[in-house]
Amino acid sequence: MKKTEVKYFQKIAVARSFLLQQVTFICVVFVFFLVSCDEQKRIIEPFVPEGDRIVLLEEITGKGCTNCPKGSREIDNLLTLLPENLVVVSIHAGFFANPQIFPLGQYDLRTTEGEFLYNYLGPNAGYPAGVVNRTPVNNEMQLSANAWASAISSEIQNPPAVEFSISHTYIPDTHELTVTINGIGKETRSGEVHVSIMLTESGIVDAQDDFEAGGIVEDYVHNHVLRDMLTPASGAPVTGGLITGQTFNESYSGVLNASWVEENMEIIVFVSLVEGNNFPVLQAGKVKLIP
Amino acid sequence: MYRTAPRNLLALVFSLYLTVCLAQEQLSLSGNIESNVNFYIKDAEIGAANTPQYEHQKVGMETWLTLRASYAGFDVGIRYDIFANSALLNPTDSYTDQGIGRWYIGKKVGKLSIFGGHIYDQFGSGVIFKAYEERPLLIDNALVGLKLTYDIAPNWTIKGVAGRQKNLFDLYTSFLKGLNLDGYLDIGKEGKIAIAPGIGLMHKTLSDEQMDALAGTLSQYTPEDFIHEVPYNSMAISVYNTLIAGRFTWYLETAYKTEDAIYDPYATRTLWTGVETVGKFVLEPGYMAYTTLTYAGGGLGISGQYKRTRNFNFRADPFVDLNRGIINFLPPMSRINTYRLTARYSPATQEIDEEALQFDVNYAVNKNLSFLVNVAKIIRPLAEENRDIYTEVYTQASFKKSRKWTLTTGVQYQEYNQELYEGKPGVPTVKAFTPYVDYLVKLNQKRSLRSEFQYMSTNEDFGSWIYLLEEFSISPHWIFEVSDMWNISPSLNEDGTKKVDDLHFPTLGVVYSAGSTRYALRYVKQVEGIVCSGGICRLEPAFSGFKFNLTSNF
Repeated sequence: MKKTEVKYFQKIAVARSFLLQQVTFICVVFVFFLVSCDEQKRIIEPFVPEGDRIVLLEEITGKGCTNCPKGSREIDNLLTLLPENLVVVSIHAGFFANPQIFPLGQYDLRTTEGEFLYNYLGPNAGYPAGVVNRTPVNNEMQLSANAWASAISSEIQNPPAVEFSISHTYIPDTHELTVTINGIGKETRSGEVHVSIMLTESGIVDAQDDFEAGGIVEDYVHNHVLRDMLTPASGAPVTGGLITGQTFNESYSGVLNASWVEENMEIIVFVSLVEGNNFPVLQAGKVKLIP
Repeated sequence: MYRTAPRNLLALVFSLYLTVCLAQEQLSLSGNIESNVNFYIKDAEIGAANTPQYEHQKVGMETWLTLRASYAGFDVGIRYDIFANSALLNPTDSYTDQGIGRWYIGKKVGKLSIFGGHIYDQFGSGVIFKAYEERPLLIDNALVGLKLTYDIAPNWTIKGVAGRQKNLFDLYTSFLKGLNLDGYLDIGKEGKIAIAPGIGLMHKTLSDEQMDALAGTLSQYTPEDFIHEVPYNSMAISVYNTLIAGRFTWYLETAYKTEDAIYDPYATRTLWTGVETVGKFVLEPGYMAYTTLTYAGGGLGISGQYKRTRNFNFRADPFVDLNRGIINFLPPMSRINTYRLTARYSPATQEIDEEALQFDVNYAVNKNLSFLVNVAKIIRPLAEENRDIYTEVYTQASFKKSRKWTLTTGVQYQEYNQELYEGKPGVPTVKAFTPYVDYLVKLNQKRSLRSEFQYMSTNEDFGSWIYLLEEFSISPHWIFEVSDMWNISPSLNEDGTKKVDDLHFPTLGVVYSAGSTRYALRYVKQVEGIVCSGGICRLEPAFSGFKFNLTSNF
């Protein structure tokens, strides 16, 4: 047999082998496709909130963050959909809230408590970030805006482990505020119970970088802005822990800054269970400062 | 959980080591270390301030220590990663963690190769699967699982992978598996024509937790945006071939991805408040076509590239974005520049909608004289805003006087859509004209001096820049460098005032190499910018302080 013939037959053999391999591979691919085509897809049902669970969303935001207004619009969206089951606090803190870096507008909306919470609820992986009931999702505490809705809907479905009512007295002349929480445990759990009381103000007109609006918006309206806390930033411990049927009554007082618009303020209260590095919020609530 | 597995592996590696020692068998051990230590010195004037590193941490570091061993056909390896006060994860915050960053065990049994652990690999050009590491961008999307490779014939290999993608020191919960057939065939006389075909398939199954989260989000969409059902599984398939015919090489790859819930940051969404915003999940199939035709011969090299991408976002978790959870790699369609100012504006690859062309011509007149021209154009054909996003014309001429000097010079023109690439609202497209010169002169057999001069002329962003570098080398150990990047003509506000001060960003450095170990210490002031690698980019914040870098292979 000539050399050229040997080469010819070798090539034929290689080509056959190649064809066989391709057919084998295509069969395997086909099986994969069959498996995929046969799958039962997840049916999405419109979400209808039920029950009395009220979820806390703490938004990390800043006037220099160009995507944060998108987060604020998502908050408005969620509050429209879940008016009875969601309370929101917008915490201006961290890099994008620093007026030395982003000298926008006239107000510094940061607070000492907010800066503490920025780290306490960290690490931050971008703005806007949202913390839902201080419960991590896939090991991440701070979630991007497109993940807030699912985290909230998941939390709403868990009945509250504690129930409480909020009453308050406010003296406009002296700006003195006293908030009283009357609560009862609905479950028994280990860990330290903390109560947090935040004061938020809406309707603050000041500059904000807004990508969707094309840049700096001088008369942007900031809502749910954390102004102060009547408790320590990580909450005030409640003696007795969480026991089914056990009641607690706590009062906290403070004096509001006279420049804040009282009519636009809300008192946000939430109870969390602190156990090591976990501090999930068990229930939240809100009342207007001036009903 | 996952973190405990590496401990077992460490024990395994140690056991293997002991076994080998006791058996007095031949063992091959190797490794390397890379360590970056940053000393932060606050400088509010350039924006190097107000992050934890500048305010109170002061020192940050990243270290990767790798050890590899081969014995009796087994290959094992382990890498320990340390991040301490690192700005790599989030440029405005600090990241600290440490642990086993990689481990693997591999063994070849006849025609079958078995590999378990952290897998770095790719199918074709990586369009449907590429597991790789890019440390400056903190990309480490190793597939943690099993890889089997079988040599079905000479030059023909089939490969299967399965596992979950690495997420820092954890794992994404979706499950990935894939198949790849690669081959090579001479079909012409005397090997002048050859093909290297391949086909790849990558399959992703969302975990129940991921699907619950996705369903939770979608369930709250308004009727205008509502998606009624979502598949758990999505699959990407790519077919590719390289045809080599004499001096021509033609590579073609097409890929298709089945319906997958992806986040489209440009899609319009209607909220319950009636307000329209952008960015939502969409359920769409995707495709990508990429081709490159190259001619090389007689001192002339010509290449043309074309790419079209549509909805080819393929991630291990539908909720992650930027550089996280990327399963695949879409090839960049612009020149990868290396000079400081010519590399200042680099386009990141667009996954949702991108069409790009690139031509590159280089001609060597002789061994001492060569020319290069590169043209790149990138658009988003379906976009209503920010459609033209990148244009670049890059020229280069190199002159050499053998053993004496080398002069490289040229000019670059760029149009870079900063609003889209950097998310800066309302800013105009950067139009920059950048001539540059690089002159290397050999003073004697050991000493050489390299000088760089670049001037970027632009009215946008920070305005115009000058960059000067002097680099003195004493072979084989020392390199001394001094450079300055000067914002010589800052851009102006509407009222004629300067947007920023005309600041200097100097660098002073010394590099010492001994064998395969390299130490570098630099004092750096660095302006904020975009750092890219292969079309993947991240914001690099301004830096002020010292940088120490150690790399060593052993």
